[in-house]
Amino acid sequence: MTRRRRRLQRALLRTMMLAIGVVMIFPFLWMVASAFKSNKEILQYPPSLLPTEWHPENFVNVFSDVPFGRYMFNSGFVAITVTAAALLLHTMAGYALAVFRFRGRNVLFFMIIGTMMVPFYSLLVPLLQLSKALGWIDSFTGLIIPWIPHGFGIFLMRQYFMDFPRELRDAAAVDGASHLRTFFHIALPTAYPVMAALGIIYFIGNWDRFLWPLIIINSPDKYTVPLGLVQFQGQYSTQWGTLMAAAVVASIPTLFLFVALQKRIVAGVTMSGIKG
Amino acid sequence: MKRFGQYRGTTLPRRKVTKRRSGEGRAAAFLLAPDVIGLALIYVGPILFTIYLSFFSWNGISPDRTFVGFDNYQYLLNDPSWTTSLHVSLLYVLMYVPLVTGGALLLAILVAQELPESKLYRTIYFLPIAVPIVVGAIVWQLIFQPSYGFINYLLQLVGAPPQPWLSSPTQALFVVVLVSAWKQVGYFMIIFLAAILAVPREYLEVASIDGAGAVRRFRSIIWPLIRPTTIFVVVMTTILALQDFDQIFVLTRGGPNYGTYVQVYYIYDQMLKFLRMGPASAASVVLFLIIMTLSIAQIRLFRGANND
Amino acid sequence: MKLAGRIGVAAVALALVVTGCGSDSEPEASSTTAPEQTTSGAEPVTLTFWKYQDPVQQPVLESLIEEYNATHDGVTVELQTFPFDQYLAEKVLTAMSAGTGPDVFWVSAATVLNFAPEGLLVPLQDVFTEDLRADFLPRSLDAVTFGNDVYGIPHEMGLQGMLYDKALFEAEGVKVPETWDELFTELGPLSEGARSGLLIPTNPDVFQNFIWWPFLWSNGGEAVSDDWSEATINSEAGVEALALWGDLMNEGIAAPTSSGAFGDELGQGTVAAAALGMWAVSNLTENYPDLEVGASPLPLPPGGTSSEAFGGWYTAVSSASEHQAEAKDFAVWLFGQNTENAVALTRAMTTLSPRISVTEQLKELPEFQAEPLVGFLDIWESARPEPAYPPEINTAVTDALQAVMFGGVSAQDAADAAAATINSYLESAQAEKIRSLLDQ
Repeated sequence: MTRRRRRLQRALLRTMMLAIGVVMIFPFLWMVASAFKSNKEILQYPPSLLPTEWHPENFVNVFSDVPFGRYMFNSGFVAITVTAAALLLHTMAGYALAVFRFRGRNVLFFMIIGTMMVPFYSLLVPLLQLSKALGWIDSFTGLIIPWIPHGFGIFLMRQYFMDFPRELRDAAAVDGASHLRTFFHIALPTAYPVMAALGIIYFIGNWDRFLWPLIIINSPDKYTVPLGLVQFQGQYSTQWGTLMAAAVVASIPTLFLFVALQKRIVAGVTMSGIKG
Repeated sequence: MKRFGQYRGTTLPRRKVTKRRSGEGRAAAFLLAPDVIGLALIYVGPILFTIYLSFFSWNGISPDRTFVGFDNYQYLLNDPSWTTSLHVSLLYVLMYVPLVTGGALLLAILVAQELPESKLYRTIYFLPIAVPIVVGAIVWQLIFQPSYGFINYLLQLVGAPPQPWLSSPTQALFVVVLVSAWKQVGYFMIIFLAAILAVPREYLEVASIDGAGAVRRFRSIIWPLIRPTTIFVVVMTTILALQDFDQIFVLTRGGPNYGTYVQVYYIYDQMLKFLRMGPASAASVVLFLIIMTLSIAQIRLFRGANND
Repeated sequence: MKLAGRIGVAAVALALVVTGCGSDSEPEASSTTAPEQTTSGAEPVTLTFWKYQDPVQQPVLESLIEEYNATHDGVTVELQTFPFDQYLAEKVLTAMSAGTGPDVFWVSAATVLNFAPEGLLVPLQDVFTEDLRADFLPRSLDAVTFGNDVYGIPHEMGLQGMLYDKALFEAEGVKVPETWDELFTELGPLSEGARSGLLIPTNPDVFQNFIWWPFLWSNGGEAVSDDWSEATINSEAGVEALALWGDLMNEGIAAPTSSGAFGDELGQGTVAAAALGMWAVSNLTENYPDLEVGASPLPLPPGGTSSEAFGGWYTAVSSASEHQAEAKDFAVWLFGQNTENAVALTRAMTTLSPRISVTEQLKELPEFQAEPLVGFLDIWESARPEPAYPPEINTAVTDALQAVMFGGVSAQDAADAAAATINSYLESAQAEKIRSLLDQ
């Protein structure tokens, strides 16, 4: 492999990455640029790239036109609660499915995977009636609980724990630890990186949730961020500048989490055993 | 924090006795109960209720429900928009799965290279996930606009004829798949990335010393080793593709002329436009069975090939 | 160990029981038998009022509700708004399904037949008296009137018309099309490069139907016969109207995609004219101050008569409401009684009102005396309301439009297919129900 050839390859690689990068990032950049433009400028044709006049007050309007801060808090609260509960529950369930042997184990696992194969619209009406019966309408409980049990997380944690060596468990047993103790004190701590990866995915998924909050929440003070975003759109007009600014604000937590935890995410997925 | 990975490959004395220890069932039940109860409540109950509803005629609101046996399923077979939704869904999957699987793999390979900017690109390729779909749709609609969009502008530069894109039933499906793929490929890139990074360095180094080029190294070493991941991604993307709705709603409303009318859209229309819970439920059941069958088939297919 | 299995079974059973039980909770029986509750004055009543989100209407409604709450002891109205695209479907319908719906809400002509024939709305004519109704253009109540029962109170009249770029037409020396032929001869030359001649809706939804109706009607056609006994969309008039839109699209006059009801394309210069209506004027004047908007009646076929449609929503009361008396009072107070409320709202929306007294006041306002809005006053009295059709008929029409515009189907074939679907619907029990309601 000559030096020249390698440099050529590298240049090719870099060009490809850049080209793809442009395609991937362009809508995001457009969103950020638009967040500083006036309505008029966003809509104009031919479209401008950078704002000719800067309107940072769009960002102020986001929080003054509607209680967007409240929406961010609501979404954050819901996403964190769901994620925390889900991580705990899925780790427990995944471990049990991976490590213990009991009758019906495979059938149960199969059914759990099956729950991922139902489109949400099909679940909507029954879920709503269930929520009503349980008094979840217009409550945070109703926003949070339906999203805690989820097949994907159980699948991932089971994958991970399938590599958990029997020897460790046996060693713990010899030391007199019960099954549950073994789980909570020995197995669970090793899973933190995988849980981090799963946690990010769940956080993002729940931060972005639109349809279920729309259906179950009536009071504006419980709106989540996606519901808040759409408030800037009307039947015959849209406040584009404010909408874009709100979209930028809405994307910050997701981005921040990803950037901050990038290494963990990859490490977590690596450990999870999906790859092998 | 223990990483039991250190135990892999070592041989600790194996216990000869492999019988189940007492109390496993109880512990399992305790650990599984919250999730299983939750899943049963949120998913299994509603699924069973949906199956039940598929044998009734109901408008979703009034208390009257009439038993109609298999009429709803017959209704589906007689409804051209349902058969259309089957075709469209199939096409959608055929476009989406290779695009996302291949795309995610390509991206993962790219960011797995040890370039200083690799970490940055990981974030950039993940960015679409953070962009709200409303915004993404607006931008992509602009880019693909037939009269003044960027894509047709490029086509004209190279002398190709401008395309109708979202105003053509067939091309609209492609655009919708593209937008969907753009938005979701980041997740799968991470999964492939993890798989690629897990390939032991030594293998690649040895191959490199032996004179194998990058492509050869990929084909002979990486590709076989990441096979389980590939299966996983294919199955997951199939499951996702058959349930996609938001992008279609925002971009085309299922049109033009039913060009992007996937099965979920049919269910949505039957349920919330026509107030026909019966056919909506029947269509849900069929979709669920299709997803299940495809997933099983894919796993069996790939596992079978894997055993060589 | 079967314990896990047992837990699973128990959970499923629980879920079934709860779900099954929940669905049996019914909304109150048909409105005529529901007991009317009179306010004892002791317990305060809270009414929920649902509508779609709209930044233009929001401040007006908030202040109106504040006023109502302040002046009506014992009643508090709570306004709750939801995204426009999901408002009626995902929100209102599912809420009614679960019995968690609103007391008062806005319903559209396109969906009123999902509610009224099912007994989900309360007739309002005892509070919305004949005196009050006398102020309304008779036709404006058509869509919500069945026999003697009036189920909704309209507040806006979004009149249709052709909006166009005045400066462009003058610069190019092009005549504003007045006939169908002129749509091709005049707008043809304007359709070049990035610009299309005419904007018509392209997404398959009721808005597309709404904009198309005047083309059908002015040509003498109708979707169904007056007595709802047969489809008439495949009459010669209907076929011609379908063919018009098909030709406009296939010959490149019509813009291949449209963003909706806002008319942004006109402001951006990517269309020369738009088949829209007066409601778009506020968006255009606000966001495109450089645009000189002209308005003219929609072009007519040879021998056709002008027949613009107007759209709008209606305030209705849910029969599941536990405070029907108070709800009715509020619904009627909102836009059915004094004129100030209606003026405030329609002014913000740049639409006219179906009420004679309100329109008189709007006429005095400066914005309604200037172009382009002043032109709409001429067609105010003769306009037809958006028809209340069930989704089966609306979808058949949309399908026909989509087929000629994007499916390469001939207008005759598309019309025949629509007629077949409509006729088959008209034979159903559901259609019979509506027919008997209409016959009252």
